[in-house]
Amino acid sequence: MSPSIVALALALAAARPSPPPAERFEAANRAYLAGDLEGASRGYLELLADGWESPALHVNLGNARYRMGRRGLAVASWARALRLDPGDADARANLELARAQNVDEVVGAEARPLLVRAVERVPDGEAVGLFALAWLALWLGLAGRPLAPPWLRARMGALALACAVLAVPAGALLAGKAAARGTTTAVVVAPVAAVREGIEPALRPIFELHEGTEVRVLEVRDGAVRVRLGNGMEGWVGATDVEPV
Amino acid sequence: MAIATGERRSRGALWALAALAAVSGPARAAEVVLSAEVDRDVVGPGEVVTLRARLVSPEAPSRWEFPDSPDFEVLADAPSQEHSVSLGGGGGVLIRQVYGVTRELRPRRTGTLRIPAITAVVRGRTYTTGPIAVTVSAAGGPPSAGPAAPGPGAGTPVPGRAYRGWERDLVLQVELDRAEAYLGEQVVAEVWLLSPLDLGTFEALRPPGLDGFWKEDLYSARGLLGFDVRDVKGIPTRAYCLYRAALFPTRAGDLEIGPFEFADFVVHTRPPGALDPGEAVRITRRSAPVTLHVKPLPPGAPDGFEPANVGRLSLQGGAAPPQVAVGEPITVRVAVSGDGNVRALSPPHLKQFPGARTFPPTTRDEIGERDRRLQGTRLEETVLVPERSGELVIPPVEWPYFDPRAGRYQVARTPEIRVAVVPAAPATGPQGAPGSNALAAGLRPIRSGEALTRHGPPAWQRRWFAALLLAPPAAFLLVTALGRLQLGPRGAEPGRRAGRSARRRLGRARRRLERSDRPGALAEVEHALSGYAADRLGRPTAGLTREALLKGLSRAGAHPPATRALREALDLLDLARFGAGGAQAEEVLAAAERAVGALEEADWQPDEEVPG
Repeated sequence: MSPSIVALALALAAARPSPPPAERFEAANRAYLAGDLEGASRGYLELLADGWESPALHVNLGNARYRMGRRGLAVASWARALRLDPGDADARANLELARAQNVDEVVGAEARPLLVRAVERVPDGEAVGLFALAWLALWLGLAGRPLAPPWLRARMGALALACAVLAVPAGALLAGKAAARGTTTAVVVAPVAAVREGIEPALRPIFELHEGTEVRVLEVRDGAVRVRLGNGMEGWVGATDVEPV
Repeated sequence: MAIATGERRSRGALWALAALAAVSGPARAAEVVLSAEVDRDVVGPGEVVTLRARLVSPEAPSRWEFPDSPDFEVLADAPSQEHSVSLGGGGGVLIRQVYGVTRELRPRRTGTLRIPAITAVVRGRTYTTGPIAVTVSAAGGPPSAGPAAPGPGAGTPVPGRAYRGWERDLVLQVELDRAEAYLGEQVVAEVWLLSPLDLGTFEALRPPGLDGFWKEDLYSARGLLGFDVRDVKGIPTRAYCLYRAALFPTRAGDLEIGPFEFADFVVHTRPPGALDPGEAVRITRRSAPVTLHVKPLPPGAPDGFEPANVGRLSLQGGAAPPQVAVGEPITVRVAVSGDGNVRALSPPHLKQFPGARTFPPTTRDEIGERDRRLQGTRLEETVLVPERSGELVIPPVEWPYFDPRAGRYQVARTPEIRVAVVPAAPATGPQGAPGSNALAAGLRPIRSGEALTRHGPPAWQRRWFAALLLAPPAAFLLVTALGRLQLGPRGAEPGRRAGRSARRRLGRARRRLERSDRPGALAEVEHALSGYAADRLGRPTAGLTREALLKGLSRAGAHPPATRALREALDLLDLARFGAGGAQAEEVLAAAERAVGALEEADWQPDEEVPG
C-alpha cells in the first residue's frame, strides 16, 4: 500500500463524523448508570469541549464528579447548570447537598441583597426576551403612531409609553445579569488550599480553604488567583486549587 | 494628688461629706496640729531627702520658719494646701484645712545629721516640731527603684496616702521564660506591674505589635486582683501580672519584644475602708524592651518536615467503627497534641491506598492554657469508604517534627490500623450501582433526553442583540426623516397640525354645548373653521369674504366636496348665530366636523387648481 493511500485512509478516518451530540450524551448517561463514573465524566467533558452544553449536561457531570469524590468540581458543575437555568431544581438541590458538607464556614459573610438574588433567579433568555419585547414595541409604537388612523393614534401613544416604562426595569434586569456574569466565582477543588498574602509560594499561609468552598475571583496572575470570601477575607491560592464557574 | 481624676474624685467625696455634715450637724473646726516627716531616714551621699511639713489648721499660718542647716542644701521648696474631711468620734464631721511645705534636701556630709525644728505661727501662736535625724552613710539607703520607706509591714503595705509619691515606684516590666529559643518554639512573655502598694483597678493595657512572632494571647488582666509578693532589691513588692502571651518566633536572629506601655494611664489604690475612696494616679510607664535570641532549626530535617511542626508533641491515631460494610464510611482520626503552636501545626494526611476511597480531611483544634503555656490538640478526621470486603489495613502515618527540648528532629508514627469490611447489602437502584459511595445519598438522579445547545456568549453579547438595540430607533429615525423629505412645508404636516387644532376646538365646542353654553360653543366652532383655513392658507383669514376664502382653499388643494362641506358648515353657523329660530347648535357642530374631515381627506396639491 502506497503512503498516499495510507494518508488518505487516515484522513478519511479522521474526517469520519462523530455521533450526534444527543447520542453521545445518552451514552455517557448509560455509563453513569452502569457505574462507570470515569467514562461518564469523560463523555460529558468531551461534549463540553466540543462546544455543547445544557443544564442537564452540567447536572449529570456534577453527579458523576460528586460520586467520584470530587466534591469541589461537582459544585462547579452544578453552579454552571444554575447559571444556565436558575430554575433548575436538581442542580439547586445537589448544590445544597454538597454545600452542607463544606468544612469551611465563612463567618460574618454578608447576605446578598434580595434584588441580587431575584436577578439571579431570572433566566438569561427570559430577561433578554422581556427587554427585546418592550424595546421593539416601544419603537414600533413611536414609528407607527403618525401613520395610524386618527382613532388609533392615541392608543399607540399609550402603548409606546407603557413599553418605555417596561423597558427601563427590563434593561436594568439585563444589566444586572450582565454584571453578575462579569463577576467570576470559583470553587476550591483541592482538598486543602493554602491562602497566602501574595503569589509567592514561600509566604506563610494566612488561612486555609477546603474543597467545596465558593470564592470570588479578583485577579489571576502568574499561576495564582486572588480570591475573596463572603466575609471580605482575601488572599492568593494556586490556580490549580480552584475551578472557575 | 495633683491629677485631674484624683481631684475630681476627692472633690466629689468632699461635697458628699459636706452634704452629710449639713444633715448631721454643724461642722466644727479642728485644733491646730503641726507635724514633719522625711521620706527616708537613711540615705547615701548625694541622695535627696524629701522633708514634708504638715499643718492642720482652720486658717493659714501667718509665718513658716525653716531654720537653715549647714548640713543640708535646699534644692526645692513647694507649699501646698488641701482639704481634709473626716468623721469625728462624736458623730460630727471634721472639715480641716491642711497646709504643707515640701522641701528637697541634699546632705552635704556623711554621718547622723539633724534637720532643725520647723515652726509655724497661727493666730499669733507658735507651733513647733521636733528635730529630725537623718543618717547619711556611704552604703546608702534603700534603692530609689524600689518602694520608699515601706515600713515594718512591707508584705502588706498600708494605703497610699501614708506614702506620698508611691506612684514613682510603679514599674512595668516584661519577662520571658527563656532567653533563647528555636525558630517556632513557644516562648511565654509576661508583663508585670510592680507596686509598693495594694492596687485596685487599672485601665486596659495596649500590647505592642510583635513583629517576627506568631502570637497567641493566654491571659489579659481585667483588674488588679491577685498578686505575687516579690523581693525587689531587698524590698517586698507586689507584682501584678497584666498580660501573658505565647510567642512563636517566625524568623531567626535577635528579636525584640516590647516595649509595652501605659500611656497616660490611671491606677487606683485599693480602698482601705468604706469611706476612703483610695487614691488614683495618672502615670506613663514603659517597659524596657527584651531581646530574645532565636536560633534557626538545625540542618538535617527529615523528608516531609514542615517548619511549623515544632514543640513537645505527640501523635495518636485510631479508626472507628472497627467493622463496616463495603461502601460504608470509616472515620480515621489522627491527632497531634502537646506544647507548641497547635493552630499552625500541619498534621499528617492520610494518603490514598488500595482498597478504599479517601475523602478530604476535616481539621479541628482544641487549644487552651495549661501551666501558663499554650497547649492543645489538632485533630484531623478522614473518611474512608472501603471498596471491597475483607480486612482493610490502614497504613501507619509518619510525621516528622522538631523537639526543641531535645534539640533534634523526631519522627512520630501511628500504629497500623485494621478494620474488618463485610460485603454490602445488594444495591436497590441506579444510585447504588458500583462506584457509588456513602456520600451520594440524597443526590438527585441524572437527566436524559434533553436537547444540547451550542455553547456561546450570553445573548446580550451577540450580534443580533446589538442589532435589536440599534435597529428600531434607527428605523424610526429613518421613517421620520423620509416622511419629512416627502412632505414639504405645505404638505401633510401642516395639514395634520391644522386638523389637530380644529378637532381640539370642536371638542371644546361639544363640551360647552353639553354645559348649555351655546354661544361659547358656536364661537369655538367659528374659531375651529377659520383657524383651519388660516393654517391651510398660511395667512390670517380675517377680512376675507367667504367666496375669497373658499377660492383660496381650492387653490391650495382642497377639492370641491371639501369646500362645499365648509361652505355648508359656515352657512349653518351664520344661521345659528344670527338667524331667528336658527339652526340647532348640534347641527352646526356636526357640519363643522364633516367639513374638517372632508378637508383633511383632500390631497392639498397646490399646483392642481380646481375651480370651486
